[in-house]
Amino acid sequence: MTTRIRIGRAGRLLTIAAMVASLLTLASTAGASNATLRTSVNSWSRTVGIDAHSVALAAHNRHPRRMTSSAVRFRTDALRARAAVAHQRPSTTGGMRARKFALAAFADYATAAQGWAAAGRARLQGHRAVAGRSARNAAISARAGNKLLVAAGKILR
Amino acid sequence: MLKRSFAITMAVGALAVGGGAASALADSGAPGGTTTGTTTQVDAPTTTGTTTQVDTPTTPVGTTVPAPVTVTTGAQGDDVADEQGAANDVAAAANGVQDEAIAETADDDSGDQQGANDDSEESGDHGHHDGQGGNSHSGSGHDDNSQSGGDDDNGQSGSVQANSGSSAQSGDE
Repeated sequence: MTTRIRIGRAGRLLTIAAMVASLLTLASTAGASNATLRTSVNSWSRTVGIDAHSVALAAHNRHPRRMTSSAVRFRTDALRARAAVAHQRPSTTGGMRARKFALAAFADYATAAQGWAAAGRARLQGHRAVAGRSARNAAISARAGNKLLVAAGKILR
Repeated sequence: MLKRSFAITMAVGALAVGGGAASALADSGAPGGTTTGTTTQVDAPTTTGTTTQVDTPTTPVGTTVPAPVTVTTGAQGDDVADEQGAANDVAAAANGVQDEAIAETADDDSGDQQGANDDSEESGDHGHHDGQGGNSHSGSGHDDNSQSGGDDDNGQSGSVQANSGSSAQSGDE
């Protein structure tokens, strides 16, 4: 009888241990998924930051052609970033929210870049009003993208 | 019976240690851009030129301008700075393009000539973030000056330097 009781206790203990181990495994997997998302968002943030720096420098130096080509590259990288983040599969609610924000941010950046390229082309053709309008619209998209990207980063911290 | 209890205790201990190790691995595998053994691949951006990615804050050689340094603690602080740095650069670009679009002054046509295959960048554009302490992009691509070939920017570097007021640009040289 005593032996049965002991065996029962041991069984319960084993069950609890298995549950704890499962929880730990789940937590580690979730951490890994969010970590890869964080790595992806960070890497691509750096890349689009560099591209944006090129755009800013070209604009500052009044080089609309270079500004346009930099904007096109910025757009390409923003779209690639979006695709890369879309591949990630975060397993926590926070991770999913961060992913959603990052996707929207990079989409906004792509839109902004399109506007910058349009502004550069219009500037080259001497259409200052059109260029100004495109640049203004692009700035709105860029601001929206900035907020979303920073929010995504904070969630993934 | 004692043996059984001992075996059970050992099993529980092993499970706990295994779970803890897995958790630790998952947490530590993030910042360097590496993946843990079982996780999905990270589609990190490829960069032209040297591909060394430096996550730790580095100071560009020869920089004398004290840049406003974002105080970061550890790798996760750097991560946040990456997004904030990108946001700053994008905001700067948006302002720059707006100014350029409506500027009354004529464009710098001589410095803006590009051939069909010219992917060269502005002189001084080495991809550094302005004022981002943890965001030095030294050696992380997009420094296309080496590709510029016939339409090299060397001829305009003086004027660009004169125009650029950014500390990062001057520190890049």
